[in-house]
Amino acid sequence: MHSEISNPDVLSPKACKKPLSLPPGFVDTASKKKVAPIGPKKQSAAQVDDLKMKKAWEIAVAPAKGIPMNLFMSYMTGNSLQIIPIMMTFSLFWNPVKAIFTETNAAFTNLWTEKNASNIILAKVAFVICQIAAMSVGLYKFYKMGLLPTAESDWLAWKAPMRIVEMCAVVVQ
Amino acid sequence: MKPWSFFLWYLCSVVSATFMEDAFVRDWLKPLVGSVEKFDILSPLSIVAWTDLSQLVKLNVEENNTHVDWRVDLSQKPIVDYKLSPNNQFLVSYDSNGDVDLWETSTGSLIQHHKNAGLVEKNPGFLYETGIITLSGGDLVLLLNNGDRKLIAPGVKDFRFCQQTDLAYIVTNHGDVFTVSADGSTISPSTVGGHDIKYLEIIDMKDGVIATTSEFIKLESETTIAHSFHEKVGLLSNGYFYTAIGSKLEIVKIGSDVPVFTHSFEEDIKNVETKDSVAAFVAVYTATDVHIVVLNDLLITGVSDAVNIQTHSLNKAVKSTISCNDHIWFVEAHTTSPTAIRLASSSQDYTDDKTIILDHYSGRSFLLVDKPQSEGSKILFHSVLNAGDQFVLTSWLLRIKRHLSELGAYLSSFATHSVSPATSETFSRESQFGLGKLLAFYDTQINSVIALESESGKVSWTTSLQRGFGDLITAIDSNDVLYFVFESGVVKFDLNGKILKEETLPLVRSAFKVNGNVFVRFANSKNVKVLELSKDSSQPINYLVEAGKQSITGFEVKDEHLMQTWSHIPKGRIITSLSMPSYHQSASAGIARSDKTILYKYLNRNLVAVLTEVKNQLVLELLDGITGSQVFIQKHDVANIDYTTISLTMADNWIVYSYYVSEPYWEQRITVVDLFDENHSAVAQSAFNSTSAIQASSKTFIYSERIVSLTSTYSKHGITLKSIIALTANGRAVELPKFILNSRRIDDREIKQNDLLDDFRMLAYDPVIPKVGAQVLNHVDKILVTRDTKVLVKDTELESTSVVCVANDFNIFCSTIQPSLSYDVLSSKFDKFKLLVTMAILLVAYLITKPFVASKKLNSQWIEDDI
Repeated sequence: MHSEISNPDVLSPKACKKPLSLPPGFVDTASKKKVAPIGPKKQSAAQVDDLKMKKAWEIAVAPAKGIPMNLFMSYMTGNSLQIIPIMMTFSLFWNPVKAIFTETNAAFTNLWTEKNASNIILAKVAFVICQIAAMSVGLYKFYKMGLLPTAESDWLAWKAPMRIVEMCAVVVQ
Repeated sequence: MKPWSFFLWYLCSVVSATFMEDAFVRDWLKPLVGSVEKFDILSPLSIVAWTDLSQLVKLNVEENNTHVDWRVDLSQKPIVDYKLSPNNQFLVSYDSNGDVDLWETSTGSLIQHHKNAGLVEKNPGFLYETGIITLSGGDLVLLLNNGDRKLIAPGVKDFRFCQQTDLAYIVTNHGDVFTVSADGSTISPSTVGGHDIKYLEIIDMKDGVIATTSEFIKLESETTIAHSFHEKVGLLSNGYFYTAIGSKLEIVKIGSDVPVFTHSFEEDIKNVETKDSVAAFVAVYTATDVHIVVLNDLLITGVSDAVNIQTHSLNKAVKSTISCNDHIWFVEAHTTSPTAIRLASSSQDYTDDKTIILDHYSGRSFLLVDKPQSEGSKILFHSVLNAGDQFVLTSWLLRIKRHLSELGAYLSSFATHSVSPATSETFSRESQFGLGKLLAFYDTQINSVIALESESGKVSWTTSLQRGFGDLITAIDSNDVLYFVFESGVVKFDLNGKILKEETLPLVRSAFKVNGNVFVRFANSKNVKVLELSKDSSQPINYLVEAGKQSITGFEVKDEHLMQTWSHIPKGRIITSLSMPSYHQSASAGIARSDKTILYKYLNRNLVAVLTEVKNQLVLELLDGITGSQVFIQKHDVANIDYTTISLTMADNWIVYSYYVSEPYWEQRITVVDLFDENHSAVAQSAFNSTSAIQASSKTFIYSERIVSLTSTYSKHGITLKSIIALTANGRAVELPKFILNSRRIDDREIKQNDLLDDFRMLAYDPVIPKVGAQVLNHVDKILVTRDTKVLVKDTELESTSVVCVANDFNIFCSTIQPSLSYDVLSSKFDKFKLLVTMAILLVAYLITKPFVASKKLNSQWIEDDI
């Protein structure tokens, strides 16, 4: 009874005696002309340099993008001297330092050309500045936690006690 | 294996124990009982004695281990005498105030105290052990028992007393006989069988029998037996008596003229003694000997063959007494030394004769000093000091040589010790970390200087002075040399007790040490003499401050002459004065506050604190010892202060003093003054150009015990916390941490977080200092305390630890203290064995896994190459 629904007869257009009308709005371009495949355009060297500089600046300012989040996290963790906040703050301080010394050249090596060398140096400087900015969040956090020896009392152990040159003996009679 | 066995195994693994002999070994107390004036024997191993220091003591006299079981200080009571009960279980003492006390001899505890029972005029009698029959209050015979006071007979001038089974008899000088039963009820007065007893004719009274010059009177049966006496006579029991005629002793049965026992001695009998109660022996004294005639079997069986006689020579005894305990008889005598008791004892099986030496020092000018360094230590010190000046290889070779020689010395000494344990006394390794000190003092009684080991209390050395230089003025230690300065001379000792120099001097007034120089000041001039000159010549001018009763005077010492520079006469009476101890080190210049500013300490080592009384006001004045200027003054409110109780100590930047106030409340107060400097200068200044500006804070605290003496602790570098040792009248040495006695504790508002960060362990102010048991240093023994008790403190090589000694005529106590706890010493619980086992397991694990790791690395290399 429902065999036509469950097993319909599928016919190709050619097998049809009467040509099938196309659905409304459908244009059969494939059958009329052959379109050449779309491939990558050949970029000019100038365009490549532009792209490389764009990428270099993206890398340079990337550390600065994390600063708001780090500030927020620092605020949320408070200034109490506990091992987890101290370790987090240490990573805030140490990761930028490490990045400055290990990633400054490595990150820009593939983007360097003879033409954009001077611009790459600027990007590196910007990278370092951004890393220092990120590091300063950690430093500020250390300061707020009281772990930076900035006050006079932090150097109390090195301060000489009051000393009077003369000395007397006392005999109680 | 059963589950319970696992549980048992677990229990065994966690159980640990400490021997009692190893516990409480950090401190010791040596009781000094003085010289014995009277003593009695309680048992073969213990005697009870009354000493010239007004102490009632029980001594345990075991072989080579004489020690004090208990002692009672009765120096506040003018004790007249004491008497032991017949069974030695109780002791009654009575004083001239009319107080009568009953003590238990086993523990020394007070059983009964009868206040104002009247002046005891006759040795009291014991009624059923705890009842005391006294003749006191002039003419009253009283029965004292368990707080009750019962009048037995008034108007009595003298009485005699004896006890028989359940009845006691009292015969008064009027001839009246009072019979007292066990419950204290008195059958009064009666005559015996219609006989009038003539009191003056009574020779002896014992066990219900009265012996008069003409008859025996048996009180229970109210019968008389006529008998006449001509020689020494005494009762032994209600059945026997003895007579001594010339050199002959006779034991006779009452009612019979025939002696049951007769013995003739080689010499004439001088005296015969028995016990007050039924006597199982008599002690017969001749000119040179004492003979103990043992009679207990004779008195029971009546057989004379059982009598045993033991003879002891009396030598040069100045005093002797006799006592008995069960079947052992004693003869004891003072020997020539006042601190020795000769104790000769005998029984039917053995005789023993020993002399007990009591610890007794009359110490003056106690010094707590380091032990002398061994040659090895000196070499070590110099080699470490000069290590930097030598070639590296030379230093290394010398170090190896020193280590090998130390190892060899240690092994050889260990072998010597284990082979001959008898020499263990002489074997002693050098004190570790300088924890062992010498407590040196001058003994006035034997004119000697004695040094005790602070760790054990044993005598390290005793050096007798051959010459007398008069009274001791003071003692000073300087550079491993001890100076004992007398009125007319000085004796110089090294730390081994060897006299280095004796020197006669003109009359000496005082001695002092300043800038490493030691001086004596003469009495009749302003001249001084240098005893020791410091090698450091950077301080050419020395200053001296003399704090007298009326004034404080400053001098400059120049060319062995004193030039007065200033004088200060306080408005009131000087109670006490003290200077800042020169040997205390201050590691920190100030206190870091929560806002990161610094509160600089006022650390003037020339500070002189003077406490005066001005119109019932206690006034603290602080003077600069160089210039004489008054740098601080603090006046207390008018109060009723007991000025004899004031004690003062100072160290670092603080002064602590205690005083007892009787009004409005009885209070022991402790006042703390902390001094700070508002114009701190990092460079050394002259006292004459000092820019310091003192800012002081003060607080007063209350302690629950009366304090006799205060002393501050100190450590080698002054880094660790300081404590104040308070010696209380109750005989406790209490360590009060300085952070408790902090004048900056907040008292006018609620304490805040920043306040807590303002100082170490800052607390809100609470005037009452809590009593903490752990702070008591002498938790085992009580110290007998006097006003002149010295509390001495000495630092050790360990920054955490100091040695404390308390010394006076009654006792010497030494211990160690750790105000900042023992952070630099391994805990006794530290398990070295477990540590070694863990290290061994880790090493084995490393060795086992090493080949596996190498193999894995090789395999991974092959796999990478294949890829």
